[in-house]
Amino acid sequence: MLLQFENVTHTYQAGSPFQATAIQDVTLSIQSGEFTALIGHTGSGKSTLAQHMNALLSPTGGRVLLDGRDINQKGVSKKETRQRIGLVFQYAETQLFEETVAKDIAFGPKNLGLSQAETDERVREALSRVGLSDEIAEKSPFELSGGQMRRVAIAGVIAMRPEMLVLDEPAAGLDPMGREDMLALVKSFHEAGTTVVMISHSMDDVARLAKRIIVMEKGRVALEGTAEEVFRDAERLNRMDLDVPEVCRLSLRLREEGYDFPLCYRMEDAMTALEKLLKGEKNG
Amino acid sequence: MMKNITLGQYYPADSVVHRLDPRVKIVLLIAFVVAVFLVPDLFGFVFVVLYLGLSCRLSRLPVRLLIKSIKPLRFILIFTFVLNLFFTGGKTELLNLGFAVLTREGLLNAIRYSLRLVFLVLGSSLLTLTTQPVTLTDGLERLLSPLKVIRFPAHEMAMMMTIALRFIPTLLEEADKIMKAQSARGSDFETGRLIQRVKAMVPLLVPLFVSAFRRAGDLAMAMEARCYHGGEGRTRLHILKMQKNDWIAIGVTALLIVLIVLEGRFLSGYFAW
Ligand SMILES: Nc1ncnc2c1ncn2[C@@H]1O[C@H](COP(=O)(O)OP(=O)(O)O)[C@@H](O)[C@H]1O
Ligand SMILES: [Mg+2]
Repeated sequence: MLLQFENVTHTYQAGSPFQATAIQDVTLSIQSGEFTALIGHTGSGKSTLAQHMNALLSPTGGRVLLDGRDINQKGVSKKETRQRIGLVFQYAETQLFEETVAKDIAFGPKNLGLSQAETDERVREALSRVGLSDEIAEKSPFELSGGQMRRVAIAGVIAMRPEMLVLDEPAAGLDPMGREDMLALVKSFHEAGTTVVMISHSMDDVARLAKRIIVMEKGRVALEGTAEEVFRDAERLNRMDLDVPEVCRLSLRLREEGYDFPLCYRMEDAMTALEKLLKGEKNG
Repeated sequence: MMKNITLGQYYPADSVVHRLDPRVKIVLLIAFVVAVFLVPDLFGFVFVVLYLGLSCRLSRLPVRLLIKSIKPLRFILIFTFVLNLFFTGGKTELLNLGFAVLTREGLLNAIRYSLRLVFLVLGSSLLTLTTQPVTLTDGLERLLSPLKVIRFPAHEMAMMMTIALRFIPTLLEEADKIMKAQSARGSDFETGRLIQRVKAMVPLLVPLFVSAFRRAGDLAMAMEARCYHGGEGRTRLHILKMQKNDWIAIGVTALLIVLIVLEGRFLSGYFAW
């Protein structure tokens, strides 16, 4: 699967005195199996961009192509696009509405017209994939904790078995433990073969998970590349008021001081490199 | 985010009319309505048109926006026109259609009543286009506050209206988001038969209500935490003071009424319409 943006521009309320261009001339592509992070300040257009991925918004300029076909063209099924590309909104727990968790998760599969047996099967599978026990299935979603509710909401999207999962700030508003768990969950989706696009504004989270990073600034793609490439440009990120991850800052600083130190952006790598460096100092 | 959506029809601009005291604008609208009803003959509407034209000019509104405000009223307008045309009675026959008679009086009445309606709508639109709803509520509260003596809850009414107005964009934004979230799960809000469409609203309305109640609770708590206890003894952040322009506006409107009354007194005899 290949998702491509071709010079996509989106202007909200075009023609009114309130019109606002949220994304401008965005060109990018996302390939099967990738883990891409979309990062940028609040208001930089991340959510707007995400909503173009499954045709919830259609561009006011440019095209979005899925496997070479314009997804906003007449005759291209929106439902199919949305099944293939699952989108989990920010604070997704606010979309829960059914009496029971199971029914809520079944909403998507039902909309796809699946049989009851198939739906039940998918609900069970989705629950276990988000790490919730079966006992929860018959509870009301409104009795659950915030973190659990969000998992239920994610399960609701997973149950449609999307090839690609777009998550809009999945860890926002969770406590540190909850964040860790959520990130581990996102990682597990990727490991299970789902293409993942994760929106975030935390560099540290992104650095740990994503192979590829797209940095948005004021509606445009400001930087794009592998984690190494993006974090090497720390100055540029700083100019955009975005931090590089802490370990990255440390390694950049050490390099500045003249040490022979690799550019690390994961804690583990930094530890190994530090150990080596310290040993070297002792010996030499 | 969507704080920008147009509520009512407010058109943001920086103009003398926008800056007028909301109390003055409300009172002037009432005066304008009276003036429109005082117009004795078609010629009198000239003053009304001049007055509206001047206001529109000063307020920097695109004229088309003002004209557009009549559109929702077109059926009532046609209805009024036709009704007056055929049921006024009168002697001077213009056209006999057999089943109905068109009289000169009927025609004049039809034009007069339709014009009245049009001008009433234009006048009120001018107010809502140039005044933010919240400002309008504020003005209304102050105009009604003397009624507190007879226990009319002017402050509470205004506060409720202000809060409602404040939360309409928030709720719309929320509704938009939930609708998109459910669409992402394959929900279809646009097609299908009526029953299906009503059913499709459940996944939208339940979360919307849940969040509205939560917000209302939070807001009540936040207001109480800051010692809100109703209007009693509460001071104001913006003290409205009449400015020179407010007096000028009052003067111009008074002139309109005087002109219309004089015209009715001395001129209307000369024009048979
Ligand atoms: N529904 C909307 N209507 C009008 N403007 C919007 C809407 N959604 C977002 N915007 C505007 O578009 C810009 C980008 O917003 P968004 O895509 O939500 O950015 P991010 O997710 O990076 O915070 C912001 O300036 C925001 O105010
Ligand atoms: Mg966002």
